[in-house]
Amino acid sequence: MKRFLKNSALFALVVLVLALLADVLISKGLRRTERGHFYTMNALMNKKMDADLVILGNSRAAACYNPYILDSILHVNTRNLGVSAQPFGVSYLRWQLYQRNNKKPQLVIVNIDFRDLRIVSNGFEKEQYYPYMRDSLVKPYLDLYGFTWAEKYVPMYRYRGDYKLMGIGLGELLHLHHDQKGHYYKGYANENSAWDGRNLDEMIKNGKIEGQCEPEAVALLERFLQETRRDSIPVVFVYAPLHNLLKDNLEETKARKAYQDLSQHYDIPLLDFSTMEISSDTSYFMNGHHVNQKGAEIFTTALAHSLDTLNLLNP
Amino acid sequence: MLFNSIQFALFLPIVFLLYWWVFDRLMGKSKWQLTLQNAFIVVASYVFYGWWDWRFLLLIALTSFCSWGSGLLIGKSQTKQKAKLWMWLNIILNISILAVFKYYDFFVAEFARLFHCSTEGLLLKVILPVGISFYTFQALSYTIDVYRGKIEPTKDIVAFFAFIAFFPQLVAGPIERATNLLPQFLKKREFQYDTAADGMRLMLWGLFKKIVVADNCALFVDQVFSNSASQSGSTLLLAAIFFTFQIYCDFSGYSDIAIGTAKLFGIKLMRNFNVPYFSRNVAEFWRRWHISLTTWFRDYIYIPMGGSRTSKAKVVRNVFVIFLLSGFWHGANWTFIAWGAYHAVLFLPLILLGRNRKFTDTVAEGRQLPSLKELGQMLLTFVLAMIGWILFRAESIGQAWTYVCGICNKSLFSMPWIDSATYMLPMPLILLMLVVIEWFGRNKECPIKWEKAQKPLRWVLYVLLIVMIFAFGKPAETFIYFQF
Repeated sequence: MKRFLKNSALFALVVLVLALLADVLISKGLRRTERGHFYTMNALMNKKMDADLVILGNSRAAACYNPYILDSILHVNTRNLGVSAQPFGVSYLRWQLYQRNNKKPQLVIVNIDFRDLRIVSNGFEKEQYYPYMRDSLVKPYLDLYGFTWAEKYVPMYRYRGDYKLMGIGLGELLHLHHDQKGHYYKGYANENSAWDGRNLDEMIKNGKIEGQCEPEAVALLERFLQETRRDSIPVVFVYAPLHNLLKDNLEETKARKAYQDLSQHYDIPLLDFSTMEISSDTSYFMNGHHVNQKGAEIFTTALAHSLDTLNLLNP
Repeated sequence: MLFNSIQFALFLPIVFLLYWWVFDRLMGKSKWQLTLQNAFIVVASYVFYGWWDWRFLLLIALTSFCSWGSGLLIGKSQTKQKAKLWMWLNIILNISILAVFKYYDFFVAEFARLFHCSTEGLLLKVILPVGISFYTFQALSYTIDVYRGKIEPTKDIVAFFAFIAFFPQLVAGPIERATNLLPQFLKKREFQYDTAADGMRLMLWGLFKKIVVADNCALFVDQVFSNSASQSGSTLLLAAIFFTFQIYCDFSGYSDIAIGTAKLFGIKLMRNFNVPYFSRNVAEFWRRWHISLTTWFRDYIYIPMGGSRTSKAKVVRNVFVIFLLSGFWHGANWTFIAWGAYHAVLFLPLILLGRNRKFTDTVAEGRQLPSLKELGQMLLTFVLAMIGWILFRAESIGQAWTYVCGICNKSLFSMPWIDSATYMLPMPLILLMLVVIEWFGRNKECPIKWEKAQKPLRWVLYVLLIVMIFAFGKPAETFIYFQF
């Protein structure tokens, strides 16, 4: 029995040490990649941003705000921190990471959205956090992202089944392979897809789309506004375009009211582009709530001119 | 609780340590030691099963109690008639439970279809308790063996409950015989290093087969079978090959983990699979596939009906009966019955020509590689088994027929659809690795018991398997045979 336990423990130790080593090496490699959703996260953590204008929000932010246009018109350095399918709880994490690792911006745009005022994430694309599980700011958000106990504390467990990701990490580590950022530009998703109504049909098949407005998320947004006010960082709320087919089926009174109340209370400008003229034309949209490259171009240009009139940025 | 889950990875070492340290070593001198250790097995097994759905623990307890009681009553019976009555009462009770949960809705639906009436309010729509077919058959074997005088009825209710509920084999077998397993619960178990080490190896190999092979094959197979009408012949063939490996690795992987786990507790379970795809004909395949069920049907149904030592007409009847029953045991669906009939048709010529026991040894005995003839025989048996698996996997006989017809057209020679998203690309290499390891280990219970290799090399190979389990593992997938 003793021999069995000794050998089992020794074997387990060997496996554990190898797993730990692999975990460290793969995570280190993944911090270098510019692949897909790792790109913005790694840029944030690697202190490569130092932006004048920061954009926060979900995938609508990532798809709508083109930093190239904002930079050209406003003569600033813009970074889009939009994170797909994530609520404000996660945007706030990105903001905290940005603040810790990069210089103070002149202006923050918060893309307001009918699904943003939530806290708990659906865990979409949570791999971007794999290399940063021990980071003091990321750590408290792991539960929110749906990480299990084993994923948090058992080495390599979170990588299980994803041999491609392990390969990317090792490839980057050994300089055998480097993933470029692809179609992303400073966090902007830059997608030129044609209209596809299936997603919208799915959303409205059970009637009206209910906007979300959790009190905890509103409180977090308020905390964010207090912090930015304390640090003298101006904030602007922007409602990016939605297609009319979605808007007509949307019930978002509560969320809208929450944003308006905060806007009034903290004296935050609220720029509403949800009804701009492109909203009735599917050629500017990929689906009901994401504009395509052409739509982003028109929206961002209009936004840049509006921001210009607010005089919140110093080129 | 699944063997391939983190819960089981925590549950097993705790149960193992308590079993040997608390209930063996610390209580070693107590006269209640064995009873307490068996009681601990029952509790651990009920926790293991209850993790899935605790309500069905009552069914296991009922089956266990009635079978134990019927054994005692058979033993006390003064006449053979009375003993027979008790045996049949227990058989009827257990089969009734099985019938209600597994077959009732099927029969009602088929009856309604036949007579064009409505099933409104008649269907029970109950969840099928996991492993009900396995533990019911195990309980039945005890009652029949007691009646036949092959085993003495036990008065030890705790040992009997442990025999029925022993967690490694409770939900998907091997279906143990009381003659093999029950006596092991009636005597003190000794810890043996080699047995436990063999157990660990078997568990590792079982996990590899399940997680790396079966679960990854399933990703492709599920996609193709759910949309089989629009696939090319080559894609359908590839998915059929993958499913042939999937079902083997899923079920034999479970059996390996079960047998390996049991070894850790000093319990030896019967072998359930013996490299079935290296069989040279269908009869040999059935001696190597799901051995515990095949021998159950052989011993309790086929031989009592006369087996092969009777008239040819009766042999034909007997073969069809056991294969159809075997198909029906798997589930209430015509596809399983058709699968059983298909194998009966393949088996029948062999038994009628007296060739069913032609290959009782292992293929290429004493040689590294098979001859061309043996290779051809194995390939043919594999293809025949694969056609059967199409029936087994399909939703209906119609789908199976369309599937086979879909393979047999000129699109068979086109490039198959390969879904890179489902990690298909490394699969040929993984399947090759499986076949090579199983081929060179075909004479061993555990093909990764590399006795000739030095310990460091063995450990490197085991670590490599663990790395593959991590790299290709998906979130815990359930085992196919849990539904039976």
